[in-house]
Amino acid sequence: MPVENSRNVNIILAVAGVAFLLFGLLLLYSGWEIWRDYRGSVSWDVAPATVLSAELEEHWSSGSESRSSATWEVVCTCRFEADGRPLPCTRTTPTGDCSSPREPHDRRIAILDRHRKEGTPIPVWVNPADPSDCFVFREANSVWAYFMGFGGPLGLLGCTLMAVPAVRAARTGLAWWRRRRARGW
Amino acid sequence: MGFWTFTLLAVGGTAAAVLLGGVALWAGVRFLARVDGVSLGRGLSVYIFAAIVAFLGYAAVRYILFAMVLGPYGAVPGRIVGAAVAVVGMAWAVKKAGCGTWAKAALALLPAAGHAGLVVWAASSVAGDIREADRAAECRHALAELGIALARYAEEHGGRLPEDSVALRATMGSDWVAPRCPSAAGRADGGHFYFSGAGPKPLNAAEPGFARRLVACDLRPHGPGRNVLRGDGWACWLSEDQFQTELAAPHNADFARAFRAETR
Repeated sequence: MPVENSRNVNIILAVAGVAFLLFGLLLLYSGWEIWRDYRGSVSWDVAPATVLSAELEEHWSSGSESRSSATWEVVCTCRFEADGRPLPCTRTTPTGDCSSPREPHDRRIAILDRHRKEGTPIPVWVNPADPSDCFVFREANSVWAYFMGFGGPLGLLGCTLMAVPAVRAARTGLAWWRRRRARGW
Repeated sequence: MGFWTFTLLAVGGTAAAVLLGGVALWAGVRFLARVDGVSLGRGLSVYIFAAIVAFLGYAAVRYILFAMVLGPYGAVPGRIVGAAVAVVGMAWAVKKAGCGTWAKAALALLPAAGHAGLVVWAASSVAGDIREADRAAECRHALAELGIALARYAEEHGGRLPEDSVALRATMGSDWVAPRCPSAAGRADGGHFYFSGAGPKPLNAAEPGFARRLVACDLRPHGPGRNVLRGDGWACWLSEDQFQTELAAPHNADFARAFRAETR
């Protein structure tokens, strides 16, 4: 390959490598943030709460008529007592609940509805340091797994693309140094 | 942790692990297998290749072959055969990279396999801690469900608590299943200790101060502490020191006596 072409290919590979690496890291970080929010609640207290209302809301992305682009969200209000004062709990899951597909939301709304109709309390997760920070179902939005599953290989691809011009440059430099040494300084 | 700290840790950690593995493989090839002309860069690239082969081999055996054919019974044999396949895969990768014979490849692999073993051990111990914390959280949720059932029983029986789960089932319905600790699979006690009151002094939810009293707790600790259920229905995790302090409180004297008799 002519020297100019080889240099251009190296630059393209390095730029593409940086782009892939940054995008992969961004995906990994987003997935890790969701997972961290979910994991953060592992030591929280569990308290009995009364379900006051529970509804399933459907959202469409703007300008889209397609049912496949709809997302669902369980909007609920529960009430529990902490240190003798009543507190509301309106969060369904630790990582936000607006997502697709519909099935997990149907399951959650069925549980909340059953407790509301029977008048039986439901256990809710409460942050012991700040009892107003609470949610009902300790389930992670599975999108973190997709983010990390795509982010890791993309980051590795970026590293590989960056490594190719780096190895080529190192080889060229090494060859030049050997030639120079053979000729004598 | 911000994006850049995360990036630094992720990239730095991965690079350090790969670099150490590459150096270990290069040292194994150069000094144990006595193969000349192998550069450090080649050691690094072969280590990455060998690690990918080992990971894919392990995943295929453990999660596809054994999990699909044997289901939950395939977990332990899947791990063993998967590890064996991973080691053979690494040796094959090293042999392909120019080590000549299988014996030389196995010899060259020793330091790198030790390094890979350390990485896997560290990752699996972190995963084990995460699983144990999840089980403790599930157990706390189960205790809270028990608290809700107890509160319902007390409401229908003038504040009195049930003697045992049989009495509780009579109120909750025959399809009610007593909540269990996930770490107590196969044990009849369900992993929880429940205290209904002592002889002439049965527990009563209507008593003043009942909300602070311990009603139930884990029979065995979850890590360095255990979950407890209080009279107000709150389930929380206490370190073992905090738990002993709770047991020493005068309002929990009967609970402490019964708990010590049960776990003696």
